[in-house]
Amino acid sequence: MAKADFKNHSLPSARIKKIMKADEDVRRIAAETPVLFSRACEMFILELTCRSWAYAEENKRRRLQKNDIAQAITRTDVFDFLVYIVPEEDLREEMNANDSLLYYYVPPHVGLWARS
Amino acid sequence: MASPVEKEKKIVLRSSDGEVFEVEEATARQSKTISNMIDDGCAEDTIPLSQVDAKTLAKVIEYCRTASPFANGINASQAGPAGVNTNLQAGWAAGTPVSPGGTASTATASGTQPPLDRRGQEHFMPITNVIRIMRMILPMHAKISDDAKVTILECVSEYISFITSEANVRCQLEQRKTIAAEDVIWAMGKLGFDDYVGPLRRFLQRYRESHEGDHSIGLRGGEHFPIVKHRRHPQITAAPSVCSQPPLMCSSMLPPPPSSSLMMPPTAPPPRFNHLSGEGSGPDYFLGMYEGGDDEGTSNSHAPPMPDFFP
Repeated sequence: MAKADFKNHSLPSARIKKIMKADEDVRRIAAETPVLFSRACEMFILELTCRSWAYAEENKRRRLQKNDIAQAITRTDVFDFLVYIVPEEDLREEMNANDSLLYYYVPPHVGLWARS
Repeated sequence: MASPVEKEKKIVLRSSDGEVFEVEEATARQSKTISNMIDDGCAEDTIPLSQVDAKTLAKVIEYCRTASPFANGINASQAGPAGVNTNLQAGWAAGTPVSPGGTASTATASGTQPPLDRRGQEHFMPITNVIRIMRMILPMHAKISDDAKVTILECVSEYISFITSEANVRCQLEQRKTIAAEDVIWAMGKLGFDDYVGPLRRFLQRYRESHEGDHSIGLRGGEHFPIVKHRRHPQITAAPSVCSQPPLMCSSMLPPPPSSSLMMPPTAPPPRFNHLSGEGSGPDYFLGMYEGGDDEGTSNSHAPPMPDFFP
């Protein structure tokens, strides 16, 4: 299925090149670079989708939703650069979940500082 | 698509803070995102743009209106202060080097360029291709919501910009003007995508091996050299008795088959010729990457030795 067919890339090289060149600092691009990106983006899509789907399953849904992607982004360090893409309300859900953990567990030394 | 009816069609856009803008379809279509959404049928009534606040959206619409031949009144309200980043993705930090800690700086600093080209359009991967890739890993019964699709598209474009920016930093440091594939792989390693590095290196190596003949000037048009990538296995097995012959340099050395089977032989020689040369064709053969391929395998390479077969 995911055979590396060099002739028919899954993702169009020309489009990849356009995105790369949207950055004005980028001058020239070696011809094989968009081909490499095509494969890299495939891997990226697979990973992001896979992680997102885990949250859909957690919530017993069959439909992958945006908040699943948001959760995957917030919980995966390497996806930190994507935090601006998902709206804050999705992130807020995630943060609230973390906050409740925070209140649940108070490290002992915090209490000490507060007292002194 | 320039019928008068469609010219007057309005698209309703809703910003993240709930403000509603009515624009002509032609104007709205200057955004590739919106254009795709219209085409995909996502724009039943209102298109929600959850990453764009009213202020930014008003500026973008204003830009599209003045750049577009279709000038018309729209419901844009306040215009924001000049110099606000006009990209549709607020905080899209294209061109901004990102610290390894992962916290991307907001894009407004020091005039970083948003990823819009001169016509103000963003670039995304084609949604069909992306969905096809997603379905590789999703279970059969899984569905994907429309906003999830759009989000993935945005993420992919952001990923490309992110990696490219880091790769470019390195190029500039080393005073190179061309971003090479190695720079991209290096950038991925640096930005935390270590798992990708190994597979991508192997991919690059196979790609280079399979394309090594492409740059040789002398090989143009003569496909009986090992750059043939699209050999069909059945061609060899389908050929009649000539197949059982050991690989020989030239088909003219074979005894002419019985007159009844004069059809097939012409197609047999090229693959064997290539096989003999061996360079690059061995690994290609068995990697299973070029299944079927396209039909160029039966190109002009069989031309030379034919006269012997046709009395």
